[in-house]
Amino acid sequence: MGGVLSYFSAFFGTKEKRILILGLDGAGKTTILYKLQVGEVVTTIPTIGFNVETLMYKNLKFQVWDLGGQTSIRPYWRCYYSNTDAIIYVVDSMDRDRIGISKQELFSMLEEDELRKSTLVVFANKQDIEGAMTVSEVANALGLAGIKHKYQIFKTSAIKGEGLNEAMEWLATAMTQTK
Amino acid sequence: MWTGTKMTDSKYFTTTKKGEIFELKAELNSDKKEKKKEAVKKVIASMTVGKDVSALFPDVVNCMQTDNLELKKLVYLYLMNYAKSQPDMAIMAVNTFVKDCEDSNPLIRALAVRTMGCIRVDKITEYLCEPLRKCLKDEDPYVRKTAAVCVAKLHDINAQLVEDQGFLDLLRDLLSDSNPMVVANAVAAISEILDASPSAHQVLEMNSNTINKLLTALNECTEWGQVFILDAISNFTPKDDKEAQSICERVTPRLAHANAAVVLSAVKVVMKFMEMLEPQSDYVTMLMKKLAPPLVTLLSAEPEIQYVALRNINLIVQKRPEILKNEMKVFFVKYNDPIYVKLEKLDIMIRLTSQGNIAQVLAELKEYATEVDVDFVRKSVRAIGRCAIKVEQAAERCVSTLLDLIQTKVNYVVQEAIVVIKDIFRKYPNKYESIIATLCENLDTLDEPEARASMIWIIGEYAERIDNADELLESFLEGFQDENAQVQLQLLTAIVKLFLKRPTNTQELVQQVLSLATQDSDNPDLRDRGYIYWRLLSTDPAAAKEVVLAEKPLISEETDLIEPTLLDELICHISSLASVYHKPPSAFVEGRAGFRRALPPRSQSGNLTDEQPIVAEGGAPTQIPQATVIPGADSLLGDLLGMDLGPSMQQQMYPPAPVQSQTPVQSSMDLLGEGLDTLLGPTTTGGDALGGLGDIFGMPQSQAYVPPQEVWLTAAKGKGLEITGAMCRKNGQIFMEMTFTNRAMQTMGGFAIQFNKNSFGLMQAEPLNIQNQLYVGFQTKVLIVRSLSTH
Amino acid sequence: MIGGLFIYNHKGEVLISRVYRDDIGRNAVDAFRVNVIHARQQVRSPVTNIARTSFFHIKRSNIWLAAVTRQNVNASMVFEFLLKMVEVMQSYFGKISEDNIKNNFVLIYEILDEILDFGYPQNTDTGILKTFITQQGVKSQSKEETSQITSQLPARWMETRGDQVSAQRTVLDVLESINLLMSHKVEIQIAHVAGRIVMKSYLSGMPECKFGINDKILMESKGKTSLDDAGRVGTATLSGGKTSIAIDDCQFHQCVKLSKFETEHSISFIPPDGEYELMRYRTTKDISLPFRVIPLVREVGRQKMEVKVVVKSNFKPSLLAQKVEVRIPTPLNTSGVQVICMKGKAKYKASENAIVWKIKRMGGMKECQLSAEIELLSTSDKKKWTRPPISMNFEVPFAPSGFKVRYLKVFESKLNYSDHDVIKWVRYIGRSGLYETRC
Repeated sequence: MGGVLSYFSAFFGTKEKRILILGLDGAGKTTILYKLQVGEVVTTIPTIGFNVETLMYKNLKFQVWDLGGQTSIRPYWRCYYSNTDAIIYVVDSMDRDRIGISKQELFSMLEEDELRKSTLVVFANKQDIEGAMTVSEVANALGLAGIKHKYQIFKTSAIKGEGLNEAMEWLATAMTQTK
Repeated sequence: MWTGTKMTDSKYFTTTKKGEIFELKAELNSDKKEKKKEAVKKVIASMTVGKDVSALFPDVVNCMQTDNLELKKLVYLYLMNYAKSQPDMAIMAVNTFVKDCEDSNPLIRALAVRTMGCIRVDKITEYLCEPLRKCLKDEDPYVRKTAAVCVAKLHDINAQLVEDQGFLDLLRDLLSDSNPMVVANAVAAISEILDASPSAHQVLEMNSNTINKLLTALNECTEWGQVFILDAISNFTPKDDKEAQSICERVTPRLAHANAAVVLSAVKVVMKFMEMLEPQSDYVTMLMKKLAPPLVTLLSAEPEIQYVALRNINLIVQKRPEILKNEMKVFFVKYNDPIYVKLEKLDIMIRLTSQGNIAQVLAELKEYATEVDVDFVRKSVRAIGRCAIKVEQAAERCVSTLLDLIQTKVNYVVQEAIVVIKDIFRKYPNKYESIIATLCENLDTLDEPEARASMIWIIGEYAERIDNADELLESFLEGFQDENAQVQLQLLTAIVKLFLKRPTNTQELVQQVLSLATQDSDNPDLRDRGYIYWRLLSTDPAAAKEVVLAEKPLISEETDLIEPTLLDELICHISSLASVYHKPPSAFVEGRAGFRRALPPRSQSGNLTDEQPIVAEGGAPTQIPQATVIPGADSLLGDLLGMDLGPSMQQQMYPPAPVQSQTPVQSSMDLLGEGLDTLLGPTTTGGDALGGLGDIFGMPQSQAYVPPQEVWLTAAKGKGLEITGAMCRKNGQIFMEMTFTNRAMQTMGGFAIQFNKNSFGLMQAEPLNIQNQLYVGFQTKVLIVRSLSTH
Repeated sequence: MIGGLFIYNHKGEVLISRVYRDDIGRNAVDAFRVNVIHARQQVRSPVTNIARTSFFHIKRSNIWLAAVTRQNVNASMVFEFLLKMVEVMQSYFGKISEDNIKNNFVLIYEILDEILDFGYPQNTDTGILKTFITQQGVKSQSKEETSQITSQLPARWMETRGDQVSAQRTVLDVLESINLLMSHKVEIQIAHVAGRIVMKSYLSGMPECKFGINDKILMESKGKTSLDDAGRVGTATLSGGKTSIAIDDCQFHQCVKLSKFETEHSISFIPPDGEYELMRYRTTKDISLPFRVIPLVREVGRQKMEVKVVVKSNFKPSLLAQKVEVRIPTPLNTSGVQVICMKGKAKYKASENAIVWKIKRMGGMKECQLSAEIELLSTSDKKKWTRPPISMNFEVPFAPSGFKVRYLKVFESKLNYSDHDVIKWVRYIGRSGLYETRC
């Protein structure tokens, strides 16, 4: 079904927006991707490599790349940077131990020239679990205040589907404005 | 935009410009699927013609997740080729494989599992285990049969992983699969794994039960599946003759299959298991009758198939001559047969020649001798000679045919004819000497060493009947220095013979040749032989006469049989490359060449299975009692001939390029006169006498299987002399190879050896040849040629 | 198993290269080119071993197809596979030529991926392959469709025929190729018939077919029940007698139940759709030779030869042979030829070193004659001209072996038609294979 739709939109010349979903392993990137695409929570295994899906949101067509977050895979994120319109950066709000690493990865990524013009959305994920860091805690820990890119942070729960729509809404608006 | 004429795919082969990679990169990242696909096609085309497009790896990998099957296949093809050159980046492909292995479309699941196994990167293999496990139990047989092969692929990358993950058990379970194609692929995978790692035997060992399942699947699977199954069955050893027979019964219907590979694999099973059956039984007779028609039918297949069939038939007629004994005519050569088919047919024709069909064969051979291809003509002429030797009644006709051929004056025909006529003289002495005059007429045209040497031998041997023998030999002597070594040796011997037969007027000649051989030659063989004659003639002319002119043993008929244990091994490899090369697999397959195959022993019903010798897997095969083929008396002579006449042209006549012929035609010429053979010792003084002899005999290095030496005499019993030894065959001769080790406290000397009479009729053909003294702690190797006594 | 497959053009440029095994490197591609394609000598063997790597090759027009391995593979399987591969490619794009290969290289890779896995041949049946390799590239299919495809893989020749064809038809072609080699003395050296039965069937459902021929053994066993023990000779049915022939050997299409043939001497099968070769057979006994060629060659001095050739047809006068052609080789140093023939047209073709004599039609029990004078240039060449045999081509409307189709029965229990409803055609054609007379 999606195939047919995307065919027609391509026909009418709507350019696909390229979005990367990044973040440490186990943050919930793949779950978010499929929740966005099919509206269901699918069982996932660690992504050794990538997933790519096309999804429609309000007449906008997104080509969404979900890249694995394992240490061994992070070096290859850079292969996907060119022509990227937006980055969804997913953080496990329960993972206080590695929030520092998450920050490092985020900053080194944002330094890349190819991502200069990309919009950033941070998902403070797993908010359904008790004891998770709050949005502001996450924002502080990541040091978002120091970011020059256009960005916004949302509290999300991929499992429950909370916060995803708001985030995408913002992203869609932000992207239509830039172009 | 549509641009009118449709371009075809061949355009991809022509793109060669700078910046190509950069352009391709951009196209690969295009939004448009068609453009992407075009780009990947270009990449594959570049890959095919050998350009390095590995730099595009990340871009191509990113095209993996597509719902376009054609594009996916192309990307997978690229991955298989380049994953190894980008081992780290290859990890990005894993998730797609995992996903595709769970796709709803079985074709995609199978495609993924098939490709996965071809990604030979250690780091990622572990990630592929889970998807593979699922696919092995997939609901769709197409996926399962692909997964079965994937286990073999994984085993090739990491055998330990396969065993640890329990894939061997899963694979074995597939032998009971309801789908015959799954069974067939599982069998193929199992056979390969067993070949590579003996440790897998515990899990994968075939038993009667599994064989039964295979036989059931046999009826229903594809032609290739039938080949896998039959080949696997041929490696199984039935527990007794009843089982062997029942397997044969279920395999024989395959002989009527249209695919030659199915037929030959069935032939292999039958040929092997027949060994276990009572040779005289009706069933065996019936089996042999059944084998002939399908083998003959193979000769109407494509020439390449015919070639493989003929190489196999060559083995089969040696093992069981009865099978095709009445089928001579089908091996007649057709004018349009490719040369490789012609040469093989000729070989088989000679093997099947008998008194009953000699007339037809001879008529054919005469026909062939006028064809165009030089090798074929030569071989045909040689074949006529072999017929004469094989069928005594036909000898006269063969000789007259050869004379006819000599009259054609076609140079190489004449030369070849003279070489074989010499053999005929050896076989039937004092019978055809009347033709010598005709032969002598062609003296001037002989320019090949072998022919010259043969002619000279004839002149020397019959010097007393050739009035102008001295003149003829003298004419050769003029260009002595320019002659090939074998001709020189021959000339030396011939002149000595002449001298012994007609001492008047030939003294000058003999002195001339002796001085040429001993003083003006750099060839140690020639010098040594010269000195030996000189010494003999000067000390005891009577003894010289007795030695040089002694009666020679006759030569036998079959001179080119494959050594029996090798033949048995090759029978176990019917249809395979080994049977084409007539070489054991270890001779051309590197490394992991498994165990040697041997035919199963005869079995009697009622025998307890545990008494049956079983072919030791991974170890040495059990010895199979076999009638020993004793080489003809000519073997020694053939060997000496091998020394002088060299293997020169025989080898090029046998098609498989690097494989030396197993069947050098024994031209059997006595160069020295029988007695003097014994004086021929290793020419290398000191050093490794074995190596020296090996060289002299012109033995191809890799040819013979040399069994390990066993201790025959311990130092304790031998007063300090330890002898280890082994009997072996090389080039069709029996050798006794011994190593003498001095473990005593003082130098040893004065060695001699004596052969007692034995049932094989073996006797010593040359004396023990050890340097005078064997010093303490030293070893020396000797090689003794043994020949048959003539009585 | 097969380690790699390469296709080259006549120059030795590689058009397709597919490596299946790790032990085969890119250098293998070059090794074959250098040692075989560019070799100075004529190829002496279809199997070549270069540095422990074995190359199997076949040639189609000027295209080389090579399979490579470093293992002790099943050699006949490799050649059968290469031949099959050619067949598959031809069914997709016709002639094997450089252009066709270049134009279809993506398709070829797709085929190679499907028919060979890790060097093990997989399903090579074109009918089945075409269900999942289509020219355009298949889009993801629905589950029902794909399970239909994969369920055919058991090779049981199940055909899912959605629409019922109203007329149930079968066409049987008995195609015989007769081979002959006559000696100088006009004695038969070799004569054998290679027969093929090509069947085209358009039958609904999955009918079981039984096929009867006039083979001695099959007819004899007809008289006994299948329970009879194998040793006893069955009583021949009344039809026996002269009309039966002795088949030396026969082979069947994959769909024929070989075990049934072995035990019950019956040919039964479930036919696939379309055209296929049901059976192949070979006979050597009691062959009726449609033609005899009687040559007479006389060398008149060193510069002239006289040739007289008589062709006799030996079959029923009511039948007509077609496309009769007699090829009389001439020496290489021929300078001119004068030919006279009463029937047909004869021409000396210098480029082919032969007199080609064509007779469009020729009835049975007739005799035609040709005489020619050949003028020769005197040559210094000592080598005698070796006369190639006179060869013949023809087509006759009967089976020279005497082969007869006795019956073809079609049983379909589920669908609503019986054996009588099936329209059956049988046609016999005898063609010359190698039909040579030495002169």
